[in-house]
Amino acid sequence: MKNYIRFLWRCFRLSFVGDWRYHLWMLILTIVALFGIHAYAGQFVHGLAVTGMSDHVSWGLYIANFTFLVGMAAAAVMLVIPVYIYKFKDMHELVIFGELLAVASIIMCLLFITVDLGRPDRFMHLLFRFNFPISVLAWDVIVLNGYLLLNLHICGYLIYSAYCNREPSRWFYIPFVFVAIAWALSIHTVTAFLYSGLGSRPFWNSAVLAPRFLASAFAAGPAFIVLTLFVIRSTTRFAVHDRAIELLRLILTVALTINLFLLGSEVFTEFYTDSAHAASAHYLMFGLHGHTTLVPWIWTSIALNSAALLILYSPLRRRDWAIGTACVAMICGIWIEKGMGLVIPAFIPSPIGEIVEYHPTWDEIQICLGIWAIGLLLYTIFVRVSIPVLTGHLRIDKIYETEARPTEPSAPLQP
Amino acid sequence: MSRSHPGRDGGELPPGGLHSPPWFRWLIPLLFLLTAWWLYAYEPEPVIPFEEPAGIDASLLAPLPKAPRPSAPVTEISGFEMRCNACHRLFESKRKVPEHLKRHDEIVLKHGANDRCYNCHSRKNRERFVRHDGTWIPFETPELLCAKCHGPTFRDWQKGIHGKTLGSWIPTSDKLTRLRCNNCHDPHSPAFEQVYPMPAPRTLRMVAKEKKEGVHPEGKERGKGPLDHWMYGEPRTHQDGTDDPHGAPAEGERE
Amino acid sequence: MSWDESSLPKPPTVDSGRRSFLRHAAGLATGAVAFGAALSPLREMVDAKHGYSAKQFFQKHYKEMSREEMNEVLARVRMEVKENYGVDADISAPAPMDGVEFVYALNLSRCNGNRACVYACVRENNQSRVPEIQYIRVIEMPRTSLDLERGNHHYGDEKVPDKDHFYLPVQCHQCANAPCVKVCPVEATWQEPDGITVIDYDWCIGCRYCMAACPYWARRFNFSEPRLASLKELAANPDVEAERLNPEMSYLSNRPRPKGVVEKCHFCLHRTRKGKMPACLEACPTGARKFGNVLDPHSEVSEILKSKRIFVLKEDLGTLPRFFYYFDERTPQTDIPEWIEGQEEPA
Repeated sequence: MKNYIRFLWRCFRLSFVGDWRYHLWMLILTIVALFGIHAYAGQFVHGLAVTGMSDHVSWGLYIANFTFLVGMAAAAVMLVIPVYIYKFKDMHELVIFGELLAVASIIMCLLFITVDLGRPDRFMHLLFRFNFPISVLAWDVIVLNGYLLLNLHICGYLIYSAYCNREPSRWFYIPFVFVAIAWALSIHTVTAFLYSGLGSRPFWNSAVLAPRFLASAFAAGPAFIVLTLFVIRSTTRFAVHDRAIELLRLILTVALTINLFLLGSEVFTEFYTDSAHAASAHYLMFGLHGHTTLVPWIWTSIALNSAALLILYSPLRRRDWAIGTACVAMICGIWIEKGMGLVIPAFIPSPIGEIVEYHPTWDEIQICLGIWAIGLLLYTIFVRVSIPVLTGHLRIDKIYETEARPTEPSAPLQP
Repeated sequence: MSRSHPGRDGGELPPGGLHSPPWFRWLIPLLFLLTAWWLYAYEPEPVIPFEEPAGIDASLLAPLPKAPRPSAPVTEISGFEMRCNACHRLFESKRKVPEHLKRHDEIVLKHGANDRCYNCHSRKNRERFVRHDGTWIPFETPELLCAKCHGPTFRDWQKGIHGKTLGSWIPTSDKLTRLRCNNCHDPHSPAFEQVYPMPAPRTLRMVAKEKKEGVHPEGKERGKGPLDHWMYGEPRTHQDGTDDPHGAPAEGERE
Repeated sequence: MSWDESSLPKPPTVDSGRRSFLRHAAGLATGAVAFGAALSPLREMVDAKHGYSAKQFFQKHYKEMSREEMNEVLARVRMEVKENYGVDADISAPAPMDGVEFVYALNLSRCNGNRACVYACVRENNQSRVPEIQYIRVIEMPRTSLDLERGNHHYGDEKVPDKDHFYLPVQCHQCANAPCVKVCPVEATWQEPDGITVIDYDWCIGCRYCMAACPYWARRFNFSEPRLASLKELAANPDVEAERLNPEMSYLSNRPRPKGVVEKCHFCLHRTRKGKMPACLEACPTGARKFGNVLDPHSEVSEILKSKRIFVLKEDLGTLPRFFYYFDERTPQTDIPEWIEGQEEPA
């Protein structure tokens, strides 16, 4: 136990070590997080009226980001499956980054839910009266927290075992990895069922919502991991094999293709029938009765996703800069599509036909950026800490260079 | 050059080492202080667009109608309250009523097809109403009079479907009061007048009316329903031949 | 291995102790100051309207409270109302009556869209005026359609009723198969035995899933602390909130709600469970609203359900609403033909 605390302390100190680019990145994230905390303090005092939400559009940017991030968390499984099921060795060391991304994403999801609640001080009520199994939100609470614990265990165990120079015992992590594969699919399916089970929102009440969620998650998640791996390549000397990037590129190309196909399928069903149930789809893509706020957003998203797909099918797909560009375009496109394109339009028009549009306020945006900053901070720290451990530089019996005392630069630690 | 280094030396330190420019080292505390000042002193309060509540006339919410009709055969003539027969025992009414009403000029007779006083009032005794066969209906039970012509409505009223019940929903309760016909309807002009409604909703973040030019006000999409051309006329075309989604206004329609 | 050890940069020497310590300390201290500044808006919580005790934090769900615990809670609410409005509240927790299932019927031929019901409800149920919360929404529909998207919620410039429209008031239908009850994760909303879907305002966590699930847009959320008067009105008359407060309250219905919880029409259960009529019905000047016990075969609503051509909104969703609409056979006023002069009666 004492060693574990020492390990955590050393990790904590290590997270402050880096060059000026690292410090600048962390500083910017910290300041954005502080602005977010300030805005949330304002929201805590004044209530959710500081956001742009209303009785009509009762879920806004917070739930939009939550939905996107659940997808990102689920995408860790896209690294796990090739390595553990298909024994793809070149990605073996990269799995941990996927799972660390899952941990950071789930923490962000829980933060987004917390800021969205009207009474976060009453979260304990979930423990006393839990509407399981009828309420899909109850399922969501279980699967998200369970997924967080699963990944915390797997990452923590593997990293701490490496730190202690111990071979990790297979029974302590392999079963959990396989459970995590199924669980990752379930978190995003349950989140999709949250929406698709509601008859009051015809825009969501479609069987294709869960497949759309999964397809977009398995495109955006690996894209983020690819970008992370590019950053790791350029800022550290950690080995990132080209074949790993290639496999991830293949995965996200297929996922993005399926995502666009499912979007097309949804669009056809709505607009060919053209019943009153298509009002929300009309609002999203073409505007409704003169209200056109979301129209530029969805078309930008479609353009970004299409451009990304074009790059990924063209000969450019072998160039790293092209892959990186496609990943950035994809993440933005899918974020818009899941957020503005899926969560908001279902509320417009309201179930009894009124149109009240949604415009996030600056306070709301600050809180969202703050939570993203906290998540990115956490993920950066995770990666910053795990690489030295995995490569053997931060171990229980070694002093890390910057921990060296001036007099004895490389004395071994007393165990 | 392939960038996949075989990973013996993992790369915990960045290629350039931990060097940072001297001025950068003091930037962090400085920026934190700046942030602290900004957040504490300058960051504005959240602005929430609350609408002023609409003023309403609370008397319009009263359960009883404003001017319940008399339930006794008494009326006011020249400032005096008098029973009907006080005059009508003495004076003969003209035949061709209602054109020659000298008194009771406050009465506005707008009872649709029923514009003859003696359809309801007894010719011989003004303190009674008459049935079709000439027998009398007392003033206290005007619903029997209305039932002469408004049979279905009367049957609905008997069951409680038409009209208003106040006080209690328990049928055996003594607080339950059923209003009679003349409690809500003016018997001479029974149709409810058009009124201005109370203010429209002004909930949080709602835009009441579309003020932009050329934008359809909410809900007024014409020409879209199958039966709309019965109400709003055929769609009118612009001079340039394009369809105007607003149908032509029907005869006598406001707008 | 492809690298030469000497080509690696040397690990940097650690800075000399004092300056680096100062810098690190400065960074941490200013960071803490910035964090404190970020939390500074919380200082306004001290002036908040509602005190918050530990007892309130551990308050149980309505269905789990004993009589004594409920009385304690009612005493707390009474005290809060006294503190905030200066009014003595008469607050109770009436139980549902046996053998009663409430049902509402609405005669669409009689509703003229005057919205008296809306404002009577606001007054009776202590709804927030700023921001405005109204449980009832009256929709002006074209005579030829039941498509709610073609309704107009913001009529009001002209007199009502307009001859080409009918008026559809919508409020919570207390559905027998309510989607809102299905989705609440903490069971803060449930169907009572007399058919009313109620909310425990002290249990709701404000996730608003029920608002997404309701097909009739019946639920409202307290996005901020509900106020009975605007600041302008308070400046003009400091007692306006006390004047507007309805002191006859119950735990599950019209007591002042806290910020951050959902609320909705509850058929005025503080009145109806004591045998009275709901406020909207009493205010309706045309007698379009009908309320009663559907289990009593002689009640008005039973008679309506037996004889009138009734329908419900969005029947295909299977929510089984307890709110029934119907039209009477009725010729519009404008369609009465010109009177044909009859024969003069022989003398």
